[in-house]
Amino acid sequence: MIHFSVWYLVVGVLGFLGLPFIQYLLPNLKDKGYSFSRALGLLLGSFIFWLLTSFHILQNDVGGILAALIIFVLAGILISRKKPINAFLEVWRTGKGYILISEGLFLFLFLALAVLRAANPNITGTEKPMELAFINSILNSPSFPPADPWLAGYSISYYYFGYVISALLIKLTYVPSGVGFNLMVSLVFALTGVGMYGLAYNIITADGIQNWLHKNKTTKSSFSTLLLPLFAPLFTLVISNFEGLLEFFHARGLFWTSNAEGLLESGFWKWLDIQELTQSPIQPFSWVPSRPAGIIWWRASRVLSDYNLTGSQLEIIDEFPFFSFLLADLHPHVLALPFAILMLAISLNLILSPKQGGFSLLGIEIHNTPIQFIVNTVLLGGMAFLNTWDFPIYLALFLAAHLLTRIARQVRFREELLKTASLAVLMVFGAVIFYLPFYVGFSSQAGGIIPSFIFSTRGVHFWVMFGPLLIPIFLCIAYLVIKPRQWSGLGKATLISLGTFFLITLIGLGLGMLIASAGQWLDGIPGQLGAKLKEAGNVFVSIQGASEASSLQLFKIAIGRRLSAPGTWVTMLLLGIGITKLIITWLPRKQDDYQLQEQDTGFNPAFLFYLLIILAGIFLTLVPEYFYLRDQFGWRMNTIFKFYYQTWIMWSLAAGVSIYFLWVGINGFHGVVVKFIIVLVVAGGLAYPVIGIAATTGNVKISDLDLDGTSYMRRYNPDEAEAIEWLQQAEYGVVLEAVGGSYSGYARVATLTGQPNLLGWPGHESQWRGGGEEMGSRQSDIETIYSTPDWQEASSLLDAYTVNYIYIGELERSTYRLDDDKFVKNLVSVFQNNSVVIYGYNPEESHP
Amino acid sequence: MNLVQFTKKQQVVFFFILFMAVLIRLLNLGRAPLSDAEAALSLQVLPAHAGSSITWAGEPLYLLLTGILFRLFDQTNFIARTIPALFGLGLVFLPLLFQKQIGRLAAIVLAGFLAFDPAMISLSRTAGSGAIALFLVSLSFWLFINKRTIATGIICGLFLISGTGLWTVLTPLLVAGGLYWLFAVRITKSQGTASNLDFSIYKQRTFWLAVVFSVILTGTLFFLYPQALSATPSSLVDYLQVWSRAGGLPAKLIWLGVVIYFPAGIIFGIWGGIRGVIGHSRLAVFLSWWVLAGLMLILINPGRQVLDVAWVSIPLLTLASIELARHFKSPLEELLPSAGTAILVITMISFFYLSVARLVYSADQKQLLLAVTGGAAILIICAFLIIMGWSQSIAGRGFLWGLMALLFVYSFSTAWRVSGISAEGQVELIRPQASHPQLALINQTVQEVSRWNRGGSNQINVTVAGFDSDALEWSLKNYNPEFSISIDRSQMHELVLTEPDYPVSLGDQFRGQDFIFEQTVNWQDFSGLDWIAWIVHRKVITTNNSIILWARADLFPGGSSELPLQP
Repeated sequence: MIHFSVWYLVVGVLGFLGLPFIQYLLPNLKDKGYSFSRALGLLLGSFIFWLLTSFHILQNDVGGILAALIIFVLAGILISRKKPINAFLEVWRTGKGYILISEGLFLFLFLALAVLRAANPNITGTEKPMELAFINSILNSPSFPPADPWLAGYSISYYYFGYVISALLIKLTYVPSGVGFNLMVSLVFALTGVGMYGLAYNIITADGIQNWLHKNKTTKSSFSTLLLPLFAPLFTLVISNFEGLLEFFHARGLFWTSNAEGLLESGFWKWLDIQELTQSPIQPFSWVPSRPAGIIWWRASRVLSDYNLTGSQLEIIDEFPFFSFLLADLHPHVLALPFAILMLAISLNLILSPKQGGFSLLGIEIHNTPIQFIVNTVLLGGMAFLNTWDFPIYLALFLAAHLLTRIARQVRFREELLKTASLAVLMVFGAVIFYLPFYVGFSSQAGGIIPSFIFSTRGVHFWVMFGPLLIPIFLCIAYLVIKPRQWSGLGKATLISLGTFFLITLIGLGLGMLIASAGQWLDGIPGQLGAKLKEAGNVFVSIQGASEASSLQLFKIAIGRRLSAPGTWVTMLLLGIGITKLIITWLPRKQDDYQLQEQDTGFNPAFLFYLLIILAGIFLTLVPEYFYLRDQFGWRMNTIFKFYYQTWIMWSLAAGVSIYFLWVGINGFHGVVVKFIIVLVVAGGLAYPVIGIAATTGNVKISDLDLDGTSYMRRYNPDEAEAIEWLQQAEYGVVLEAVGGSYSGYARVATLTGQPNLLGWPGHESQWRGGGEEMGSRQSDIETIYSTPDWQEASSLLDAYTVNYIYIGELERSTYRLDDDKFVKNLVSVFQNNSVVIYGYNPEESHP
Repeated sequence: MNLVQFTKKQQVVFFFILFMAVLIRLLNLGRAPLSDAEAALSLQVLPAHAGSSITWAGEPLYLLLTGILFRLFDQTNFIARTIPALFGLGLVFLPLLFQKQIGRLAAIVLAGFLAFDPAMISLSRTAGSGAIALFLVSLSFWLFINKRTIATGIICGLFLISGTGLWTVLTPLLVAGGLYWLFAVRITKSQGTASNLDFSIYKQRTFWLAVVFSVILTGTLFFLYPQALSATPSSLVDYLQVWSRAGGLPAKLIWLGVVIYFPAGIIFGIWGGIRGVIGHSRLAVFLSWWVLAGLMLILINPGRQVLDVAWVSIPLLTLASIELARHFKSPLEELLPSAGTAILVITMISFFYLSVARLVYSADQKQLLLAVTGGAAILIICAFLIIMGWSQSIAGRGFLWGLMALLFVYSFSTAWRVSGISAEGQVELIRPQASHPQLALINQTVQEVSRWNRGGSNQINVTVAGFDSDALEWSLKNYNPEFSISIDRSQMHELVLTEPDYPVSLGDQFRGQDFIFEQTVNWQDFSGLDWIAWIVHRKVITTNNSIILWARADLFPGGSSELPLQP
């Protein structure tokens, strides 16, 4: 409880002190950025700390952190010319209710997830050990870049900014890293929720929207303005995909019938084709889903499936936030959430900027002040450092917001498009410069963008995944399109949408055909280029699962699959038509129309933003239907994972705002029907959280609650826990421990102590560095050191790798044919208990 | 400020005070070995001398200035303590700047107090102490009340990088300021500061610019050591950590220490405070709040030490000085009787003290009790007789002068003992941390072995196995000792330092000699007689921890050098 309270206080103080800065950055929002001040404080404060430590201007200690935070706070006061208390009072005077709800929401969410984590705190399994290893390494590294905990002698080659933020808070508050890990998960949950609430609130309270609602005599009150935006964080963080609901139906035996042999069969579940749900449920049927041979709450993140031409199923990850927080991996896509929301807020602020103002940069008009622009570039660049996948998405969103802002003032589309492209180059350049120390040491596993030829998402899977979000969005778009009963522009919108869709399809499938046929056409081209292209073509064909198939055959299959399961693209097309129609209707054609339309049609930039995020979601789901980033996995698993995740963010916000419009806009019988549908959607989306929480917390009592994710070690292996505690206090040095596979108990010493080992999980290192060059022969050398009887051989390897501690526990004894005689004869044990011995070694001593 | 306004006698007295202050602060400054805390700081700046990067602790100004001295001179104990000594010396000057506020005579008395105050001397002779912060806060206050905006900003900037002392000085000051503001006394007459302090300086941009530039330029030594900027906020962390750590002395020992080390300050300071508050003096009220706030913070701090009273020395001694200055003058006709009374008091109490000193180890407690009570009774009777024979004022003045003289002698003696000039390794309550009485001997032994075998000092390998100590590392710095968790027994170590319970037997190939490494005193177990024995004779039972210096046998004439060693 103390640790929780300290974190709550520290983050709260940081948010309070960051108010002047956020108000300077987001002046056009109704709440002046209040909901985002904590996130901004963490991001900018950590950026200053990381940058100055990377340049050895600050040290990686509490003093350095405090110095960085002082710089952040002073900078905010200087540029805004406001003190934090005055900044707070400014918002308090006009938005007491909002602040109270926002703070209450933050505390509730923070506490709720902390309790959930305390019921299941262990930092074991999946990627958690990797994340804890990074955090501990950052905590222990004397400077930046931080050491790779699983490859001594190298620095981390991963987007580790989120772990810097986590380590900063852990170090500042003096909590153990095992507790800090779980507090960070909870904090990200709370920051995401309060940010989403703020975003929805700022959209619906934008002047034009309120005027439009008032003009149309729709029911609104401060009650609805303050409380309805809570749907946004609900949809983001709690509402889940419909897989949970299907689990209930499945367990209840719905759509299962007995055949002549008495066996259960179901055409429905077979057609649905979601793994594990295709198998018959346990009898007797009940409303309580269970999975005796598996993890019941896992399937929701694996709804989609791809099949190659041989019929093999390729796993696709379709995670959503509630799953992520239930799993509680502090992976970059989770850590980046609050800051992605901050980016959305920045784009919203840009769109809401007043007609006048801004500055000109190399001929490009930007509706920010120069300082705002620089800070926005820093924040955008931070997205690449947090979760590289997010950077192009939020850059594109920012640029789209910029373009719309320009178009709304001067309708010269082509010229603005060119200038926006130039702005993109400038911002990318700036983002890279600000984060140069990161890029210098970073190597990526990405292997280019290739077409998703035969792989596409079935409509039913798409709707299981996004149904809870799409239903309110569709209802709202339909309401906004139908209500004015003005059909002009619908034809144009349909043409534009269809044209865009077919263009993307043509490019995607055309490119696929081209690459697939490279093997045939390039046979005659001499030299290396021809051979490489031919090889690429063959590899591409093999990815489809075909050993030999012509490009035409593949093209037919690609078209056939999309036509036989059109649900996804039809959904996107319909939504696209609706959005385009609204944009066409509301976007002013001339500068003079701007103000006129604002009064008349309710056009408001906030509406544009609402439409923009739905559109962004459409593109994010459309792109993986035709292209994906090639990585070590080889298929579109990761691309779908990352893009669908951001789609969930966009569409959950849109769903929350849609519910507000529907709730206050539609009255009478229709209003009741709509509200009933919303209630059904919410109930359906809550099915999964019920299953997940019940499965992961089980019969935990209040007395068992414990935030320390490493306490399991003390319970199940006290000897090893004691050894690890000793190493945590020992001087910084390289640890030798057993090497094994990923997602196992190997590398536990480095993970829990922050002392780097020679080699951790080889698979992960290979992924991070795009190969095994840096690992070299470490794996076999480690085995040699443990098992050779020759002390000279062992000591020369120990010297070569500058090992300081040789750890021998049960895992080492079971992994290797251990010969510890040589250690006993030549070294002194610096720690020993019943099952663990640690030998100290000084690699600087010269040997005769 | 105008020193010329002093009379010749006052000038002589002041220069004498200054001379003694210099003497007591600088004489044998490097004699005592650096403690672990001092060595930890000094080691920080050793690598700076060699050009490699260093980890900055929370005493940036001290580290930066000492680093410069290390570059210019040798890296000795003396140089390590020079900066605090100089700033401590500067404190003795500062009362002259406040003559207008406290009076000329009081300024000289205060200078004397500061020159011989045991806490001030202890701070001045300790590397990395808060003497820097005390000097800077006092100087900045003078600059502030004299409206020197830029200079105030610069000194405030230096104060911000003065280290942990910043917070230990600032906290009671802020608490006192808050209490004063809350319970401000409406006064009709002012004694001391201007009627209203002008705080508009804080609204001036030049002030803040001066602060920022001072912090950045000095704090990084003109960008030579940019990482030192981290050290400034680290000092807050270090200060807060003291509050979170138990291990301080019990409150009763603090009170005892206050009485033992600061009797003059306490007696006259309290007296002056009460008189000043009754007289509605704003200065006295503020200084009294400062003392109370400081004492309160010391008592509630779990890591409290007697030396923490140094942070309230300035207000306490100022009150004491103002009070004492009132009593120096005497009507001419009463001068002789008062002087006579004073001499009587001095003689009586001296004899009384010597009796106690002689009897402290006596088995006859009754005699001791008789000496104490009898002496007190005789003094009371003498006072009564003088009142009867002359006047109350003569008796009071005489007793006061006598007490002042005795307290001066006592304070000087205590200050001399605290300084450690005369006797090395003397145990003081004001420095309850472990001392290292035989470090110099260890160093000397290593030096001799090196000379015997290599023909010169600093040429032999020294390994410290199984423990570490900053004081030891500093002491042996010229040998680049290797600190390792374990030693490879197959290697040719020459000199090895271990703790007696080190789990490795170095075998017949080594000869060992034990030395007292650490000496601690269990102050909490002292009885009343123990306290008297310590106060009078500085005799105390210590607990010693030893280490063993192992030298390879072949380093001695006739020794063998066969290897490998037998486990």
